Amino acid sequence: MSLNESYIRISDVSKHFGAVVAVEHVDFTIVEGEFFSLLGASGCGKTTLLRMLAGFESPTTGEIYIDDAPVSGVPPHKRPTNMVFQNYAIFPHLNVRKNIAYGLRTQKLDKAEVDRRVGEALEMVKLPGFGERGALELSGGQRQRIALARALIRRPKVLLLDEPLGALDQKLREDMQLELRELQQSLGITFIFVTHDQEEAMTLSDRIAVMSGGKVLQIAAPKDVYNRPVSVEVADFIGQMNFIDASVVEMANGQATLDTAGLGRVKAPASAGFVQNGANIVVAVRPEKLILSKERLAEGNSCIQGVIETAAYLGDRSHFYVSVEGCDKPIAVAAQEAQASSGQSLDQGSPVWLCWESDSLVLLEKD
Amino acid sequence: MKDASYIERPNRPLWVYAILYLAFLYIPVLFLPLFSFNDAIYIAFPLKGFTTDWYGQMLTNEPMHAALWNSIKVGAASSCIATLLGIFGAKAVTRYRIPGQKPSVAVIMLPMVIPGIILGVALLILINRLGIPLSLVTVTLGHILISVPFSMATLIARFEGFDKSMEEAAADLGDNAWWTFWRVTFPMVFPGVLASLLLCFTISFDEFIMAFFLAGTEPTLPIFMWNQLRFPQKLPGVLALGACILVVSFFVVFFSQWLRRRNTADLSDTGL
Repeated sequence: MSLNESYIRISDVSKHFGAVVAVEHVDFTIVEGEFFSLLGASGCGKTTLLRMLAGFESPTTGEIYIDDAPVSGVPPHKRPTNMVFQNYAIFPHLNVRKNIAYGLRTQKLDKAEVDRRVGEALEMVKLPGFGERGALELSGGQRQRIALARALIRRPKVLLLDEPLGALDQKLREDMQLELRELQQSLGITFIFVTHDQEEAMTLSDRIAVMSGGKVLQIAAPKDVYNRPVSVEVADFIGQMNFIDASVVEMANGQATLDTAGLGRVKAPASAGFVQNGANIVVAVRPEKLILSKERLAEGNSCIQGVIETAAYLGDRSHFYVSVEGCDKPIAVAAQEAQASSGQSLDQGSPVWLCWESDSLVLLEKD
Repeated sequence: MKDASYIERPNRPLWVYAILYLAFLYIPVLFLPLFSFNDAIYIAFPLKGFTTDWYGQMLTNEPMHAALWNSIKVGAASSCIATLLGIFGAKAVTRYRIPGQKPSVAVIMLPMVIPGIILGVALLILINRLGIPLSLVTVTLGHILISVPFSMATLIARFEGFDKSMEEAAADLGDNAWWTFWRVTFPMVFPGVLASLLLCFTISFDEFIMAFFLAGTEPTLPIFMWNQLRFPQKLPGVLALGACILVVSFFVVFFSQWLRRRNTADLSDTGL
């Protein structure tokens, strides 16, 4: 079976609420059976986009296609989508069984079939025997599962999830992330998942769309969003990143030579068009790509001297801030426990060597 | 309680104030049942003796029964229509963006503060002009007018008390607007509907001024009572009737408040 590469097509969609622009010229496609996340801070337009897919809002301009059919004129109750709401929206006047069976009214099934499907759905979300519970007797995690079962019982083409794990505590959240991922893979349904939690998006998704100010900044697999962010904004939003001002001295054979404020003269792989001789750009590097050492490391690495300003021990890893001459901000370094305790005393105030491999540097356009 | 927190500590002046306040409110009212059991035509201390005669006479008082039945008819009709209008109004106000929404709500709420006598006179003039004969129907119209604000206030609170994502969820699960209303919206606001019905019925049942202007030859119960006051010997009978109405009204209001309270508690229980 070949998967439809543009199962959902969002074609130049904008949404205005009065003078407020919630979504601006968004244009991308989602692959059939994909776990796709919309990631961004609150107010970035991700929920509005999801609500347009569900049919609760209609685009001001542009069109959305689901399975090659335009859906703008289609009301929510006729769309092949179902949604798990942020607050779950469990009907408080109905018990669990009736909540889950709610969406089967239009499918005109006999009672035995409805009961069988509800039983299946309860098995699927690991709450067998919960059918007769009242909606108000459920915990947050159970409510989340019921909302999931209720949406999936209609066998939608696309499941929309609006921050469904936001209200759960950390431990439950992690368990549910795993279950969601397994469920999505076993059902093969396209999931579109809205979240502001970048770790959650990284854990779950096949691809992530990073959004800000109503626009999509980058769409890529989690690994690429993390390692190859396209802008300072994306890099800053996903995890921690050090940004260092630099100017391009030479550009040859996909290798740029740069003068940096703090790291001295460095080499880095470059392909983007903005990296040109004399251009002012930004060099970005993840804290965990930097290595701290008492001794200067061997060939293959670039190193620079600095002084440890603060050191924080976090159990499985340690965080350091290293001040380097010429750099206005101290540089963040994250070290694995093994490295941090390898007999070296990396205490506050001690001088260290800060080393990196040239391909861990990312060159970004200056804002 | 030694370990009571600052705010929960017993406060003697507050107790005294509360008792005086309740006494001021309810002692005058308590004279009604007190004298309704007094074995004398004149309302004066000392009490003469205990009797239930006045209550006994109510059972055979045909005109009173007719007036009671009139009041029930008017109350039932006006509370049902006012609540129906209240449901539509409250849904419109809480669920849709309508131009001029705030002024319209203010205008709908206005009869709450317009004196009944002014509304009554105004309606009487209007109805005479239109050539409609005065009857229980005109009383009902007047009562709908004064009940709608109360119905709206009760139901707006109820509509605002539940998340509109419930209705979105119903639509998402395949229900059109009609089914969404009957499967989700109506059950969710039902306690409010019941509270509104009871409240509007009580308002209509107790209302005098508008009924006084708008009733034709068939009196409602308050007008019947007013007419009885012209005959001193009938006064104890009116007291007995008043005591009954007092008890029933109290329970109806109490029940409607309890319904409203309970539904709010239910919603906060969901942790949403």
